[in-house]
Formats: sequence, C-alpha cells, structure tokens
Amino acid sequence: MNTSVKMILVLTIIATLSGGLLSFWDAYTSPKIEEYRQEEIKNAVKKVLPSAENYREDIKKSGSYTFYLGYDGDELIGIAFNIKGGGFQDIISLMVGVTPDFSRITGLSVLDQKETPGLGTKIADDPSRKGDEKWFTDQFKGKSPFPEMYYVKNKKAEAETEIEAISGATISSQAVVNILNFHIARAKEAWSNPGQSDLMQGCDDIIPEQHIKISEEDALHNVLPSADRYEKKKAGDFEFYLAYNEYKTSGMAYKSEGKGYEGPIKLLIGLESDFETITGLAVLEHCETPGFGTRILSDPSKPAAKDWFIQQFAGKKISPALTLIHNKEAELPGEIEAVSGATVTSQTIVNIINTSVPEARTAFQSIK
Amino acid sequence: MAKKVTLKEDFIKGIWKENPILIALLGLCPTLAVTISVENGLAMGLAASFVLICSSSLISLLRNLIPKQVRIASFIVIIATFVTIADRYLAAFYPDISKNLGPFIPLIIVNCMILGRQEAFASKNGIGRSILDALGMGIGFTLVLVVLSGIRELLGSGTLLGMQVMWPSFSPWMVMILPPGAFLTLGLMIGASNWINDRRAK
Repeated sequence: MNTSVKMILVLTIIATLSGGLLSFWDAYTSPKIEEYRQEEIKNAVKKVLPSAENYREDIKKSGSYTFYLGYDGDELIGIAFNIKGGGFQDIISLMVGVTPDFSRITGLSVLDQKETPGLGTKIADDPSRKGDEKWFTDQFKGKSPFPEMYYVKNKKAEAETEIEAISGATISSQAVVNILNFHIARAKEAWSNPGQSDLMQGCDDIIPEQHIKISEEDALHNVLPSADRYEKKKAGDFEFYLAYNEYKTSGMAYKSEGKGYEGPIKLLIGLESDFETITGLAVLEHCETPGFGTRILSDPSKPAAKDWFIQQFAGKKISPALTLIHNKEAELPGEIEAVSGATVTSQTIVNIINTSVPEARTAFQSIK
Repeated sequence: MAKKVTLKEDFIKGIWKENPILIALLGLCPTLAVTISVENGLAMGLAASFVLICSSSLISLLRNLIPKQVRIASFIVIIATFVTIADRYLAAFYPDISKNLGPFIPLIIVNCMILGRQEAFASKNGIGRSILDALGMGIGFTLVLVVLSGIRELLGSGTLLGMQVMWPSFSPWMVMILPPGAFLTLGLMIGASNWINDRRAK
C-alpha cells in the first residue's frame, strides 16, 4: 500500500476510535460530574443560609446572577448567589448569602480557588487554627456589606464593615473583600430591578449636568494605539473590538462598567491578546463629583499631565490583579497609584478591570 | 534462559536503575507541582501509571501497523484518549482529588516519561514486555512521587495522608509546600540516589 494512504488511514482509524471511546465515556461520566456540581452548590447554599428551612432556585434575569432563595415557612429569609473575581493566582469563586434586604451577610463559602498552597488557601481552610479552620469566611457572617467592607491587618475586626485579613495572605483576603464589595452592590441592583441594567440608573437620571461622555471612536484610538482597523464581535455579555494591524491582530478592547461614587462609570479597556497587559484605558462615560472624582481625567495638582491617572494604565500587567496604592508612586507592573481626593473613583476603576478581565477572557475563548 | 532474566529486568529497571524521575529526569513538571500531599502524589502517580500501561500495551499491539512517519501523532492521540478517560474518571468519582490536581491530569498528555516509553520501548517490543516495562516505570514514578510528597507533607503541614503525625507544637515549614520545597526535596533525593549508585559501583 502507498505510504501516504496508509498514514491517512491509520491516523483516521485511531482518531475515530478515540473519538468514539471518549464520547461513550463522556456520556457515562458527565451526569455524575454535573450531579456533583449541583450537590456542591446545594451544600454551599445551605451553608451560607443557615437559618432557612427550604430552598428554591430562582433565576432572576438581570446581569448574570442566579439567586438561590431560602425560606423559613413562607417567609423569604435569605438570598444566596455565586460570585467570582480575580484572586492572587486565579479566579476565586464564592457563594455568599445575604438577608433579603442585602444589609447583612448571612454566610460565605469558597467554592473554588487556586491560591498559593499554605498561604492564600487559608481563605478556604486554615490548618493553623485547629477547630476553627474556616474562621476567615465565618467572620463575614453578620457583617454589613454597605457602604463598603475593608480589611484590617494584625488586629481583630471590630466594626461591622471590618474584615480581619489573613497574615501572609493579604492579597487573597483583599481579593475576597473586593469581590464581595463589587458583586453584592451589583447583585442588589439586579435583585431589585430585574430586567433592567444591573446598575442603579444611568448618569442622566441622577445628575445630568455632570454627565461626561466621549465617543467610542476616539476612545478606541486611545486604548489601541497601534491598530489601524477594528472589528466588532459579540461573545457572552461582552462586545469585543478586535484590533488589526496589517491583517494581524494586535489586541482587543471591550466595554465594562461599574458603580462609581455617584453613578455608573463606563470604561473601554484595551488589552493585548494575552489578556495580561493593558494597552490603554478610556473612560467613556461617568458622572463623578466635579473637582474630586473628575480628577481621574483632569488632576489640577499635575498641570503637565492632567490625565496621568488614566494614562498610567497603559503597559500595566493584570496578572494576577491590579492593586491600588495610596500616596506613593506606583512602581511594580501591577500597581496603580490612586488619585488623592478621588480614592473611591480610583478604586472603582481598578475593581472594574480586575473583575471584568477574567470574565472577558472566558467569554473571548468562546469566539476564538 | 537469558530471556527470562531480561523479562525480570524489563520490569525492575524502572524502579531504580532507570527510574523515570531520579535517573532519567522525565515528567518533572507534575512531580514538582502536585506533590504537596501524599494523596495528590499517589493520585498523580496512579493516573500516570494507568495512562502509561494502557498506552504502552495498545501501542505495542499496533506497532507494526503504524507507519513510522505518523507514529508520534498516533502515540499522542492514544495517550490523550487515556488521559481524558483518567481525567473524567477522577472528576466524576474523586472530585476533590480532581480539583486539587487541577490541570496537571490533562497535562499527563505531554509527560515526557509516557511518550518516551512509547518511543523507546513499546513501539519496538511485544505486548508482554511492554506491559512489564510500563508497570515498572509506573511503579518507579509513583514511588518517587509518594516519597517526595510524603517528605513535603510531613515537614510542610505536619501531616501524612491528612492525619496529624508531628507533635502538636511542631511549626510547619511553609517553604516545603511552596515550589522551592519541591526543588529542594527532589534535588536532595536525586543527590541521594546518585550517592547510593556511586557507592554501589565501587
């Protein structure tokens, strides 16, 4: 037999048999894997809504939240939902339970994390505290997520919004706090305005005179300076602008939004194709406080480069996450210097990037 | 007569004389990455051995049918099939282990030890000897992983298979469960095996 024919024949047969065997095996194992996943979610919901007697799954159409409702008799006593965000090494997936008015956390459980063994993994399980291995997540019980939670180091958390960080795992602790701050606010909006945008209101409804908007076209040139052609593509909740430079891709940009100090902040985030390096950032829309939040775009204390805050993002690395630092120059590739007087706005922008990049990356895989 | 000795040698060589990790230094990526607990090390060793034994026997059966130009491609498809089977099996029946090992089970596909045995042995020998060879290599691989992860778990967490064995006031050596601990322990193990071999040779 001709060698080429034999090569094709043998490889085809092997690949076909392999495909057949695997599809059989997949049909056998998939239900078990799915069953386990459901079981895991169920257990987590039970854990974070400890006082509820029966549970019902309800999918609220808004954003991407699935709400699991806990009842005591007929009375709704808690809502649990799954949230995700960037940790130190990979995405942290959490199940959080809150009271129906979102004013108190009833429980927190880590579904999935790949933090540094022995350090960051303490967010889920701390073997150094015998009998109280889950102290980190347990301390969230009864805490108030509004206006914002923050972590304290090397002392007991006292205030209702204080969380004790794990020593040696500050970034992981901070990541959990950030994910909760970001998502609980969004989930609350999604819960109370089903069907609407998961943000409170547009800027126009709140403070029309402060509303600042720039065109997408101008923003695209700023965030993807090296591209000369763009192509729009939708994937999941994201709309990507793929950048081309003489027919090869040179990165992409997408829009993401979050709640700033006054109202929504809409960003256009430009990234290199590896989803790690930021090529540029533009604020498409915001209505932050004039003279304070607006300093992210024009800081009167630095007349030479008024938009230094936004400019500093170009070239920063997102792996694992951006960190906001205060009152000193950013040095490391993952550090962002906050604008003094606009800390909340600065933090919001960093949070939007940290949370949306992993989601965008996942969405992007599906169109690739 | 001579053949009988060789059969035994085929099996035994993977455990010490040609140990895939200590001597051949193959498959070091999972070796270093997952050995933070005995449970992980054992699961990784068994998964890799399963893939090795299945692929070795199948490839040695097919060795005369596969044209040599496409042998690597065929080996990879066969190995990938068994790796996927092992991966899905763990995910379905041992979800916690599957979670701990993360991407390292799928990565067995590119483990040099497995592809190396196909190229060096299974594609040239009959099924019986190939299975013996794969068994020996698999046991050798698993043993080293278990010893390595045992040392790391004992010193890094004070436990063995999750049970407390060190005295209560023992303070775990954090470095042992971090990547440097893997390099240090493996380096010392390779050093020790070389020292023993040198002494034996004298």
